[in-house]
Amino acid sequence: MFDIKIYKPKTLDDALEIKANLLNDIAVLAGGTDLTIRLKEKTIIPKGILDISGLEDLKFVLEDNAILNIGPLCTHNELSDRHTDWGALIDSYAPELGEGCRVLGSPQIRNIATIGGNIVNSSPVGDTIPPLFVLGARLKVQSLKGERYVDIADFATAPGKNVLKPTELLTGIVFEKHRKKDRGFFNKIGQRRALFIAKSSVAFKGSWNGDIFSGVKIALGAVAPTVIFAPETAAFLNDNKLTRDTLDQACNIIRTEGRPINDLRSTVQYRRVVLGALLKKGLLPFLGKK
Amino acid sequence: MRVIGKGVNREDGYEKVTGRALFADDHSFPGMLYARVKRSIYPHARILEIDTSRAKALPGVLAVATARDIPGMNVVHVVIDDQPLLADKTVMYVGEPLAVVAAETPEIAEQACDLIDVKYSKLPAVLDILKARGKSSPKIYKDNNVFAHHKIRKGNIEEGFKKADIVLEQIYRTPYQEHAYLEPQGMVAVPRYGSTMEIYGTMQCPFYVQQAVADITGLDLSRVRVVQTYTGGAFGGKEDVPSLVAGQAALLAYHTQRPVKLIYSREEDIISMSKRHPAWIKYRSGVTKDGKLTAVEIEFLFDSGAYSTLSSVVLWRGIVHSVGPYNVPHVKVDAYAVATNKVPCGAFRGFGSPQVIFAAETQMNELAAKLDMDPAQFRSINLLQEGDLTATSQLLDHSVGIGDTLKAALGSSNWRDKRKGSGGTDGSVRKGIGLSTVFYGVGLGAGGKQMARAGAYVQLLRDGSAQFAVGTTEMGQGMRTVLSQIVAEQLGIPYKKVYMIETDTSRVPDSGPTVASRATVMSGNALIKACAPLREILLKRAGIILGQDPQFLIFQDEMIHLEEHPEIAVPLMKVIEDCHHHRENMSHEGWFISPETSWDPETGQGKAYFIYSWATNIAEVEVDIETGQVKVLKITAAHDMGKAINPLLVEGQIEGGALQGMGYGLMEEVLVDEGRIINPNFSTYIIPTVIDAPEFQPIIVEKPFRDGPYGAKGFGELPLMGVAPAVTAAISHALGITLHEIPATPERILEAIQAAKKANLNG
Repeated sequence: MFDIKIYKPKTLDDALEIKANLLNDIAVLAGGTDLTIRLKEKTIIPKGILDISGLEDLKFVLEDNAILNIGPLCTHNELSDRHTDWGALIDSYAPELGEGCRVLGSPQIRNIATIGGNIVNSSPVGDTIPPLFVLGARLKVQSLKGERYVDIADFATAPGKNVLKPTELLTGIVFEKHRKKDRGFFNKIGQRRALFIAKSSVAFKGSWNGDIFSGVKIALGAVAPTVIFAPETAAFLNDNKLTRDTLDQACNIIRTEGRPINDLRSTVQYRRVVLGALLKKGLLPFLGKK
Repeated sequence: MRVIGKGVNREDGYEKVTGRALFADDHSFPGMLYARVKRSIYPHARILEIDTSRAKALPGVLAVATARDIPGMNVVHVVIDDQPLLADKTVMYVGEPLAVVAAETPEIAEQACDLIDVKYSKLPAVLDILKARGKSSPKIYKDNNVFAHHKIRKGNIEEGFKKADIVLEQIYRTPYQEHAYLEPQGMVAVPRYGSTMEIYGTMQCPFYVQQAVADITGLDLSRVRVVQTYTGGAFGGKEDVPSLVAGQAALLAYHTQRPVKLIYSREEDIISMSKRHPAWIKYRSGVTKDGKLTAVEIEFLFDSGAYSTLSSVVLWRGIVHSVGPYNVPHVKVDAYAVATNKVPCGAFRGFGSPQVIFAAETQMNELAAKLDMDPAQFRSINLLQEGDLTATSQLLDHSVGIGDTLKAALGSSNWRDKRKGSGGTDGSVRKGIGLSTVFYGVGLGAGGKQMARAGAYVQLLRDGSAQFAVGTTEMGQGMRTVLSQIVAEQLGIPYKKVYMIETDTSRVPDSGPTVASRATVMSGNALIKACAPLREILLKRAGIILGQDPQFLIFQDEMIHLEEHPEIAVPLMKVIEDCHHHRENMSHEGWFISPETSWDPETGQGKAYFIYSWATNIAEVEVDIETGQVKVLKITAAHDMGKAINPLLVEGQIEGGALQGMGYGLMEEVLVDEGRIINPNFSTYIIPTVIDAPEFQPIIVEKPFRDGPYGAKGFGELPLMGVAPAVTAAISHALGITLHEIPATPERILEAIQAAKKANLNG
């Protein structure tokens, strides 16, 4: 069925060299959970596959003072299992990302799919992306010619499209750790209670002083061609006392910030309405909590 | 009894959990080729040309066959012979087979399919059942697009409604349901000696497959042998459609004279194999102010898809179950199976009944609300009892356990308290509880009377073990275990000493299909008949050994002894050895014909089924009013199946069926756009996971059936049938809304909440 050459480089430099030579003719395999489906459905027919799954150099979680640096080949399970060092770090310093990793796909998918794959796949329903938005993540991309950093919010341009050049690979995900007062969450909703793709999702981060959030960032999944920020809701909640009333108002605002479509997973109307419910579910525990 | 009524382990459990069981794709033969199917991309089009030359020229391709290459008949027989194996002049649905390819590898076969050029001229398609009956609709079946029309006329419907104080009329809609069996369709066809064909594959009905292969190849039935492989789930989805798969593989095996394997991909399986019929149901009921049903009038349409297949019989079961298990004096039902240019629908657990049960039970719950009566009390006023007549005027003379199931389920679930404590204002979560009462006609009934027989073969070997064969199949439902228990009990030997030979058309005569929850009753009875002469021989031989009259001897604890004097005994093993030593015939056959049924097609009156099983389902839910999400907390399901030959398997059936019914009620939906199924995989066709499963409380009620093996009735389909309306009733109870369409997705629930708010403001 396939007449495809598979490249399995041992080093990042080798991988970048293959990319530089073959450009658009090659598809990158990290975990392969999205790629293999596309190959099977023949929605892509590459001449070669660059299998980077063995590049141990791209599998790490590094703590550097206030910064966390995550290797793109970390699997979702490696980042969300609180019983491991990496999972515990993420749980302490980026709990919204841990949650995104924890609720993505099925146990089998989480065991092999990588965070880098989720980002480069650039789907608006990628569960790690809204958390990375609110964490203000920057993506390190490398080619043979050097490296550059791209803000996560500037990375995806449309469903499945991003600013990565054919010569480049994603090699790091960098963001600031939560400080002591920072709180964050990620909530998603789908047709069943496990193993589902989001109809809508909401990621939130803010610094909590007992009744007011500051530095609020909110990102929305599945309600636009890419993950987007919800700036008006964030601005409204920022430095505003959190009460049942302000929470209700915030829920109304967030419903206007998505630009969803009707598709086989849900409707425009529903996706808008539940944005409010997802925000509320995350913020309710803070009401009346000092 | 030693073995009957015991929850012994599944006979095939070890093989399945250790991966030793061989499913269709695990079978290979020397020189085997791989097949692929070329399918239509339009819902309705004239075929101008099928050019196979490029495909045939591809290296590694051994055969490409179209309708013209069929040596026998281009027909897959079910009821009406309108369905071809391969489309010839027109295609009638997206996914309809046009040509088949056999090649050295599956990849080459796939590539060859891509090289087949089909020229079409598109035709207007019939896609909506309501429009299909209109004058202006294109005609794809006869002059009215109706495959079948069944009716019931009981009493005088006008008079019935005159006696009613309250009349409720609603329109209901129910969706497609996909079987989602774990193992997709698959067959291996093996030609032998140039003149016979063997088929190995995943299926419910080997005798259907045998007929289809004989028709297509032109071989006599005697030269076609069908062996069922381990079957990874079926649920009705492997009743008639495996005939297509086997026909396709056999056609290629016939031309190449090499074994051919054809395994469907999941996507191919979902777009081209049968589904539960979507339905449109108009339901009108009349009730007196003290809660007595006076009349029920129903009109309903089933979306049959492009070919008639099983639609007529599915529709027939639908009308018999459409009134529910209630005593209604005046009934009028008209039901139509409507042709559309979509995938042909067919059998699915419940077989045309879950659609009408959703409508009937929702209707009952809303009538109770209008009467300001507890829905359980409203049921008990109207439930059928011994001595009552059904909607088809069948006298129920025994084994009527519906009242007992209702009582057991109400008690176990603490219904009364929970019914009072609905709603709640704690945050956004509301609680509710709802119920349904359901009956199920066991077996093929009057609609499939000519097939209502079954054969069995039993051999008692000299080491004290027994093997048996039947014509019905194990598809995961537990038949192999239950029948092994029956043979062990009959012959007095340990359960583990009984072995069922794989179902094989050369072993036993045509025993009909394995459908309609009929295997326990039909094959169980046939086995009891086959065991009878063996029991007689054993007792006679024991009598000789003991010097006693055999009529006073009984089997017990692997001994045969004098009933009055247990100390006068001989080990069964010694008797068996002695029988073999004395050249007794230790293998026998049994043949069982079902009790009589009858039907008048003009009035829809008669003894529709020889016996009924009964159930009450109670669902408890939590609904989030802000997201519309439903969490089913618990399903209590009390079932009367006459006798639970294996209570463990009975409970498994109840839990699995309830979960499948919950999926039907809440989340499962095949999405069709211009005749094309747009969610043909499990990332977009959503079924419940183990995380979605509620707590289950299965309850067994046993009202013995006098013609059943040890009193057993069939019940495998029943656990699914009434769960959707119990769940939607619980949602309605939690929120004070009404739901007339399933699945009750969060989108629909939020819409209903909005609609109810609006109605309150306006009203």
